[in-house]
Amino acid sequence: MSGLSTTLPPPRPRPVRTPMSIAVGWLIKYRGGLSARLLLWLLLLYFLAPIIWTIASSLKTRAELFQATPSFITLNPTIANYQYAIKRLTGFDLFFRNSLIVTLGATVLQTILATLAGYGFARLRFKGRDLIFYTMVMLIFVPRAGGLMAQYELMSFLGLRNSLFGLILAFSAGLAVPVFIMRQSFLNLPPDFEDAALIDGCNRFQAFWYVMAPMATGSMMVVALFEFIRVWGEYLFTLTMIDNRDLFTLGIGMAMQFLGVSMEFGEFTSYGSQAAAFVMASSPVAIFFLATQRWFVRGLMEGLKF
Amino acid sequence: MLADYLTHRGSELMATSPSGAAATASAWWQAVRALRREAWGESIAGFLFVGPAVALFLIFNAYPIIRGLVIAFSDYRYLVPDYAPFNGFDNWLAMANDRVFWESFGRSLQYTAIYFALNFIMAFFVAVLISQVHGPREAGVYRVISYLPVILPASVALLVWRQFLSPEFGYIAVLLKGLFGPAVSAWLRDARAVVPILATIAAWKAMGSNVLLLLVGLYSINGELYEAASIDGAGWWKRLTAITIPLLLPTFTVIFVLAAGVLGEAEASLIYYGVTDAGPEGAGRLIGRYAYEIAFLQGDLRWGYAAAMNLTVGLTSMGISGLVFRLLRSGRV
Repeated sequence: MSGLSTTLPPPRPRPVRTPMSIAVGWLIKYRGGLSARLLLWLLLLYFLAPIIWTIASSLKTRAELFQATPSFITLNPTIANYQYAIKRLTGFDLFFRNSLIVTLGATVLQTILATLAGYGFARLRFKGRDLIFYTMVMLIFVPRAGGLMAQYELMSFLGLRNSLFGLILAFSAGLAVPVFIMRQSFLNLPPDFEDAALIDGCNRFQAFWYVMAPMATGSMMVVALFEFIRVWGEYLFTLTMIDNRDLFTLGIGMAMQFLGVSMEFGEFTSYGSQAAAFVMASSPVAIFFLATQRWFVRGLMEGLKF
Repeated sequence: MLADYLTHRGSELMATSPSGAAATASAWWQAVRALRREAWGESIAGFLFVGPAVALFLIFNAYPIIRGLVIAFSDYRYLVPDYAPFNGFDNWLAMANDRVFWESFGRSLQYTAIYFALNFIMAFFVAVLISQVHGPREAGVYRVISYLPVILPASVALLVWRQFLSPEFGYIAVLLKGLFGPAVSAWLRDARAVVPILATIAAWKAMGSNVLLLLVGLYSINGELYEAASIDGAGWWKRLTAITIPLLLPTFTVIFVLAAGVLGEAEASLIYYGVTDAGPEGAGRLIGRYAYEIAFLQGDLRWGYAAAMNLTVGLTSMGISGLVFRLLRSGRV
């Protein structure tokens, strides 16, 4: 039986996995979708190109920035632009803080109010419930003729111009759609849970707080994310309501600086440090989006099947 | 309705869906009729739950809408104290003779057309291609990438594009110079390029939400339809035109109707060229920007005239979207 070992072929050497072979294997596996995928990547490049270019510029060295033919990516990244931008953009930290206060304030306030109201409109029976709700929804369809003007007048009258608190109130007041979303979400939940809680001796608020609200977290995330994105990126309303430079949000501060409308925001022109400022100004909303996008896409898919 | 929210205009939504409006109006009227019969029931709890939201909404949202409609029919000038006489339709007479108004309106129509063409075609192809990616993780990455421009702050997005397209150092200018010589990159400065450039940027910024909307529509199409069509010998083009596009018509309607508010948009131009500069030869003066200039920058701030302009733009976009809505509806079997 000693021949057995000799008749066995020697073990095949494991294929060496080089990047090349991985790529070729991947190509073979997906060859059907490859042309479609190349097209998709080309189209997605349109979405990404300005973003990549900005991130790359923010990491370039001075020499790279002023090449006659600027390269699309950078080979030896540096954070000098960020340091320079932080040093020279007087008020960047202030604007950043203002943006954060307004955005977080409006997001939290609006989500809480929309959740409470959505529950009320979906689950409680009270006089005029549907009338109030449909009046709110109907106002979406009326053209905004007064737009900023009527709001300007109102905010001056209430003494809320040049106030971050005023911005928070005004931004979180865009409640028609959030309330609609939350109402739908509570309507889709089975009422049995809540009935059980009420029978067990919860009052209305407890049934809402401990039983129903936790089941609507997905929709709350959608509402919060939309509001965060909207308020962080808001420009025109803030520009109209805020004259005091100490209360500028990032959007206003950046536009003022880089358009030369006001040169108070520190002087620099290098587009490397501009790019660094852009990246820093977008990072909070990008981080928030990337952290919540899982809920977001799911909530959207569910939400659109109303 | 969730779709409405995707435009991120929230309270400033000018976009209106005719069917949505009709359905809401009839629901509202039913609620009015039912009011007398309704019991007080859990009214105290109910008002406690909805009260804060409704109060905030009424003050900061509903009141300015109503007030704006009143302003539009007056000769309200903000800087003239105690002066806001009702003047009926005089604002519209002034508008008819205002050359700048018509020019800006024309630019806005052009802007909206380009915006739509880009949005429809690009978003559709991107969504179809993403929907065919089977790995959930990979598809997720593509969805996030296409949504990234949407989350960027408006000022950052426009300033980034300003750099990107800058005639001196911008990447596009360098690319064009390298490929076609310096003459071609000069069009970046041309007044005729202003509206297309602004529309392209705005479309770039908004497209991600349309991709998502279309994807939701695409994912909900039953895969068996495609299988049956393939067995019957339909190629990909036939499948696209016979299954995908007809079944996506409702989504297209939603996108179109939502984006109708683009007609009155002012932000892009105000950020790209700054508040005081309307671009080369004033070519960046879209109608929304013109109304803003009249309301907040020019003379004694003719708020009545500006509000009338906004109202005109809003009614026009309602009219256009109603028309397109009917066309798309009738095209659907």
